[in-house]
Amino acid sequence: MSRVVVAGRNPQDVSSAIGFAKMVADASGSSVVAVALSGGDELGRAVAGIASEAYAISGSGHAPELMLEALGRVAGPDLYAVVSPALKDLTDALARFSAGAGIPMLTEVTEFARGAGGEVTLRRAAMAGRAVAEYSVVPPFAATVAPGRFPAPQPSGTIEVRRLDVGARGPEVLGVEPKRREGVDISSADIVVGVGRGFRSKEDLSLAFRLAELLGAAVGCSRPIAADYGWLPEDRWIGISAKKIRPKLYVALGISGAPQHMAGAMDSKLIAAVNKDKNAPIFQYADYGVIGDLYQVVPALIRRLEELRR
Amino acid sequence: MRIAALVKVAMDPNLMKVEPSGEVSLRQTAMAIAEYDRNAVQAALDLRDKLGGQVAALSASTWGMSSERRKDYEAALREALAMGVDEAHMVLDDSLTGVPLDTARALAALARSLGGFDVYIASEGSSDMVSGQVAPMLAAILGLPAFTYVKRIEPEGGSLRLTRDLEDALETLRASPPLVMSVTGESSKPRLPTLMQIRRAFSKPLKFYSLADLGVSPSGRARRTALRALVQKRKNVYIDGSKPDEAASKLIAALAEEGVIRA
Repeated sequence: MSRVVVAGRNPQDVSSAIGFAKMVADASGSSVVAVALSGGDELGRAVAGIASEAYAISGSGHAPELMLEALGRVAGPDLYAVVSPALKDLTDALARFSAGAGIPMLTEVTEFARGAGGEVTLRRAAMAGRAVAEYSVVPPFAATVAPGRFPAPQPSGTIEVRRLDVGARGPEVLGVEPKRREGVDISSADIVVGVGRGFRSKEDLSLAFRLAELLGAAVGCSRPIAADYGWLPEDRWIGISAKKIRPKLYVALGISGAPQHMAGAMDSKLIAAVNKDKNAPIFQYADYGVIGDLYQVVPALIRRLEELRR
Repeated sequence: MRIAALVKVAMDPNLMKVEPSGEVSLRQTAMAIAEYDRNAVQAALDLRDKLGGQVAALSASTWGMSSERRKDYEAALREALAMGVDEAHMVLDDSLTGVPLDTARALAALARSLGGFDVYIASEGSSDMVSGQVAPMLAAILGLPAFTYVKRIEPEGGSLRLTRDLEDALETLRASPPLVMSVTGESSKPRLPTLMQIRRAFSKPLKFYSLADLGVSPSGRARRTALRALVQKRKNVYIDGSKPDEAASKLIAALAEEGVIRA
């Protein structure tokens, strides 16, 4: 029987991609094999009834190299696909595995269909969400998917988790510094107010927070605000390499609309924008675009909403 | 030190043109160096300035149109040369269709034909496709270690201290060349070339290769079959913001009408 391997750093990662793995396995008559860098019993509970084999990696060193080695051991000669959530260490490991094995890979796959001749059709977003690229692929293949995009079946029963000892792998790790988090989840908010480089200082962001409060919205931001200036923590960063949002309403303030940002905001049902540059790309993506200075328009929006809420 | 900066000639999503068929126009959409690849070039130049040596830009086409758009490919590579790269080499071949495995194989063959490099620097992903796999794939094909999503590069004796920017942590590693790395948009500040640099770029070596020149062919395991533009469903209603209070009332009324806010 051919195999679909689903890989994660931990059981949560595996669960976030196992829906896609199961779909591919069902379409191709394959079995699902789960492999994770941590979480023995917990991995078992997450994949029981869905996967037919589960492996917890034991070894020391650096995540991508440990996963790369593990993939080589569990893939077997009847590999049909390797899948993982689209996370950095996993994309890295899958890409190295694929190139080493000579199999094609696509990241952030959104659709899968099996063709008549055994080849498969895979689709993914391109051009900052303004286009869809379609590929015809001869299995085996590798793919990553946005975490949770394909709903996971409910686990049931039990499965034995086997230990996979891969020894010591990878370069010398000198240090790991966890990132500052506020624990806000902008990806599930109904309304998101986004702030960009149009704001001149960190203090001025209070305008956006007040507007968000009146709208019942979460505050997100573009890359420079989180990554360059550090005015907001990275869990508020909207973009292709950060959080993807899908609110009913996205209000973009002083955001130019760079492709990397818009790709993370494309699934918003309605987009409103305030920008003083009438040529800013954001207006191409906006349903309602106010061409004006956010330092005048946002206070006016706040005044108007305060009036209405009184 | 021999340094390779991997440069993609990408299509600009903001200047996307669409054919009557609904396909993205490969003939008309503007092309330029992918946004973060400027960071890869700058990181390579910064490393050369610290350690000495040469920087070569390596590229492989992913959008075909090798004869129709040769000038655009050349212009993009001249920009890398103007930024300070010493020489540029590009695999320009219509049988490359943007399958990352094939792109990585072409780049590996190109690198080998040039005698190999000590450090390869790519960006974390291209602005048009954001596949993010070519750097680790290249490493695997060349049998080199890979360091992805690098935000900080610090030479330290004969080795490099690299800081990877992950979802929930910054991770610092010791790395010894030869190696492949991909860098993030924060890794460097790309400098705009001066007029003098732009002029000088025209006398620097720029060479094109076909896959046959390098003795490789696509894997045949995957091909891009379509690139369909999504129909923009956005309403594109403009509101004049020169009278802020009026604009605010209009926007709030429109959003309330849409049923997305309470007013």
